[in-house]
Amino acid sequence: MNEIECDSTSAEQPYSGKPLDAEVRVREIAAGIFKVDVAAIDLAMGPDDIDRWDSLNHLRLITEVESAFSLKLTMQQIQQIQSLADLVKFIP
Amino acid sequence: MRTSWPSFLEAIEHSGREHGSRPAFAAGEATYNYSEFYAIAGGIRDALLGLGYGGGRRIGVVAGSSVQTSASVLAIWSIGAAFVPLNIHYPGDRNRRIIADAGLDLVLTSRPGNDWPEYLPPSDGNLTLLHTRDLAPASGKLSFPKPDPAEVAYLFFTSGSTGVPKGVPITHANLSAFMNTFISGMGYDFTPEDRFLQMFELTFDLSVVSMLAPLSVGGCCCPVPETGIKYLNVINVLAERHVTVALMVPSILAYMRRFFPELRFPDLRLSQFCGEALMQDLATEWSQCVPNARIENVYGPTEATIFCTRYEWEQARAEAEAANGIVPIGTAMPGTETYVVDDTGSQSPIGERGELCLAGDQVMQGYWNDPAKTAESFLTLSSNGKDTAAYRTGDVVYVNENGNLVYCGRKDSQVKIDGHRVELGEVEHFAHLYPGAASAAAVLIRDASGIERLKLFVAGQDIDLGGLESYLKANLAEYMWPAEIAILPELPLNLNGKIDRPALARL
Repeated sequence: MNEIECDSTSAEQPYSGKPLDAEVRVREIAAGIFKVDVAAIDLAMGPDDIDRWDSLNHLRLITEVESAFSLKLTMQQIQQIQSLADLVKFIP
Repeated sequence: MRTSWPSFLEAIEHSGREHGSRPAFAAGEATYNYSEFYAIAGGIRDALLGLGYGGGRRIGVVAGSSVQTSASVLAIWSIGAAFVPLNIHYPGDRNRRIIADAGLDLVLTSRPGNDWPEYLPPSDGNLTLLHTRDLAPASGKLSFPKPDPAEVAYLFFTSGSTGVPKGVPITHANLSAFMNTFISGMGYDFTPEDRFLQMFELTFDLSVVSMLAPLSVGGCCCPVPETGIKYLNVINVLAERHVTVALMVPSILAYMRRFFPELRFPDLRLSQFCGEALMQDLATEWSQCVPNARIENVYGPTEATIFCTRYEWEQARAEAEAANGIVPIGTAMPGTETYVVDDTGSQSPIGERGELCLAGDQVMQGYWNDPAKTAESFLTLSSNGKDTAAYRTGDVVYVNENGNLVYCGRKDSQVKIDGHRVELGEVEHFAHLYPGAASAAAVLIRDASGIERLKLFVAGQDIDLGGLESYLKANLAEYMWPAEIAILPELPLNLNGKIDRPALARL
């Protein structure tokens, strides 16, 4: 199992390893980066749905999720990410 | 193959005649050959003529990566008019000022939807919007009138420190001088087999060469899609279109850096960087991804037509010449003269810092309707009994012992964000206008990935952060939006009583 890390600045609870928690955590990370309320974040959202989802914040999103879940995504995987839901799929 | 033309328009027209069935524009799933591409431009030309437009007019074009956007530029030149780019990411008020300053009464757009767009000022009957996406292509060849060299080919607006964009008119003489040098004076030996990356919005003048160069040699223009994540789209286009010539901003390398071990672009033979400082370490790592490419760092302000100096990067030499990790900007391209001038207006000796001034056929005559700004932006240099009017770039440089210009910074508070010129004063101007704001200072910060962004500090009473963000979005172009905003009780001052920007950058 992957080592679990928790970003204390934006996580409300440590990641428990359950899929639902992964969704919650990704939404929290996205809300922090895109500066929107977490309630406004839908996993179906992609770069064309959120104002601040530009190249820089895309990179920050990937990096923070990698750090939170101790992952390292390949370019091929990142190319497939069209939405937050796609990102969640890569979290084991 | 002929590579030198009195006007760049003759080269474009020639490509239409000689390369009709070759690919001209490859966007997304669609590829248009020269006949198809020029027919689309012909359809737009016919619509413009039908509306009574002709030579000497200026016509707005809404930026986009569609075939109709590029075809609109050709159509405008084919009736002898000039184009003025507008951007949907600009606030309505900025586009309104550009429309008013440029005297536009017609704007072309290929964007979907028939409603009056928010990025334009409210319709008052004085501005017509022509949707180009539904216009029927025209039959017959696209031809261009012989242009008056002094006529404006395009009018760009750049960031101004007082919050008002400055108009930069580039004439046909300026643009033809640049294109002739680029196509035939720099040893690139372009052929119709070349495929050129086009990653810039029309409001960024690097888009002009990325579009015109392929059309001048019978090659193919490969635009980057607007939707999705730009740097990933660039990677895709480079790979899938087997791009051979790519002009990019250096910040794209910072985005791509984590993928460098996975990237390989053997088809790329010319990899140029422009718009901001090129870091030596990034260039070195990038060179591993492009084993067959000649790498160049090119430099130039909009006022001197796209770019006007070049440095041919070679790892060992660049390692020795880089200053503060930044690759030199090289020497003047043919037709341009560079001068390094000290505070007294005298030319600086080798190794001494001074302001870079430019002269030659690519340099504009002056700002649009702004003689005061023009007067302060040019100085007269006397040499061998000859007076030369030189444009003051505001960039501080020195000439190293190899004769290459080395960039050191700015004389003023202009910075670059993804290659876009941003006057910090423009951001601060609008922040200061927000209710409760007593003072404001914007600084450039660099994140862990090496990517530079704006951070805005505002001091004042009861400032609503969300409201301030919305206000700035409504008044500034998207690339000027601060990545972070911090509200402070007061801004730190240095011993001279000025805002201590280095201290802010460390916060």
